[in-house]
Amino acid sequence: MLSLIVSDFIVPALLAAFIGPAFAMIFAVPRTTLPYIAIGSLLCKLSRDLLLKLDFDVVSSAFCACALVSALFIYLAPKLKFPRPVLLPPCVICLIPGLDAYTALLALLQVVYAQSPELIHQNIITLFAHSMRVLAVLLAIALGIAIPPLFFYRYRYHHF
Amino acid sequence: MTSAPSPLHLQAKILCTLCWKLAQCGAETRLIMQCGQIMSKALGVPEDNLELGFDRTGVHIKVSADGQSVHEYRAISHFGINMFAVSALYQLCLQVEEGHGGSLDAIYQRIKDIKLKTYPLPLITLAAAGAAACFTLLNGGTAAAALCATIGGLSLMLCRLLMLKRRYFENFAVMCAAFVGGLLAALCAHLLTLSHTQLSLSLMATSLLLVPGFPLMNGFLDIFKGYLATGIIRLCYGLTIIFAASIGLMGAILVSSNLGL
Repeated sequence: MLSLIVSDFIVPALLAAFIGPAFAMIFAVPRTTLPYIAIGSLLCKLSRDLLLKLDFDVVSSAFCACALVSALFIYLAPKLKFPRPVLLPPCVICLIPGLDAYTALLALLQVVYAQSPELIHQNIITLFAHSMRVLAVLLAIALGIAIPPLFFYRYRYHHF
Repeated sequence: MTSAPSPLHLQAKILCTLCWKLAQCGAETRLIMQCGQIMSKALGVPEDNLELGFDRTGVHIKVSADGQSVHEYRAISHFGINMFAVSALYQLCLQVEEGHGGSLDAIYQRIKDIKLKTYPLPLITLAAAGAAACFTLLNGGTAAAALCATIGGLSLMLCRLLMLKRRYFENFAVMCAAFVGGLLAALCAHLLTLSHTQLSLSLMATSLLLVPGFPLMNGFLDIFKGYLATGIIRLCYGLTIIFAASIGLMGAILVSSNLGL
């Protein structure tokens, strides 16, 4: 049981905790924020895996995990005196559906080089299915980040 | 001999330079507007006396007081990404708001002094290589596939950073980096006799660090908050980077399959 928890939840979360800060470093995110980004990435991955285990689908679980991290940084960012959009994108990078995107890319290549109509048909279906999944997960991630702040912040401008 | 600029002129200059620097470093539009408003309040400019306009082409500021008004405009050459500078500018706004900014001249000088800082090239390259390995393991890859991704990620990031340092166009640098990284990962996978699934995993993980997370997220947030024009431009920029990476990766897959790797 313990080994299952470690392999299914703890290890992926720790790997995500490395990916987040590494991605942040590419875009010159300040050094002092890297531990918080690591914690955010860890929580994001852990919560998504837990939701998947609870039979949520991949899109809803990505949305909920991102919303959780977004809500956490609504609280943390003013205390740390860093803008939220600097902290959030690296935390959710571990949820990017890279394998689906890669499969879609391969299917696209195979459509070009396919010899028979059946193969073309099969590859078009693969391309469409995986591309749609990539788009759905990306939309879930973006909405998960964007929606929680809307409960706290209001439109500032008056018309006249 | 030139006379010293008036306080009104200096206020306009401070606000314009602040917003321009934030835009050039890839800050979200709402953050740019917020920082402009925090700073103007801290400088004692009433809300009704400030007009702040921002779009992809430039920043427009109009500050008025006692029947006088000053216009400032700075053209934005590109939306770069440097989160260190964005954070430093934001923190400066908060400091000025708390009354720790000093005189107008000192604030202007402090804004001008904020430079684009990045991590050392070897550190970023190593971090990217480690992240590529972690991505592979995260998606069910073996240690051998993670090793291929490490080599691919290392070469990819090194190629991208060196090309950007030599001022090649970013899309071209990303395309070349994805090609070089993908090809080396495929070569490594061939030497280690990896299965097709493991090869796919290492190739995918290698190129995943090219995902333009900040422009995509900022673009989406801009659109969500009503800044449609800048949001669409940021999303288009993000998509062109993704297309460039895809072309590079497709090239690597084609070349490696033609070479029998």
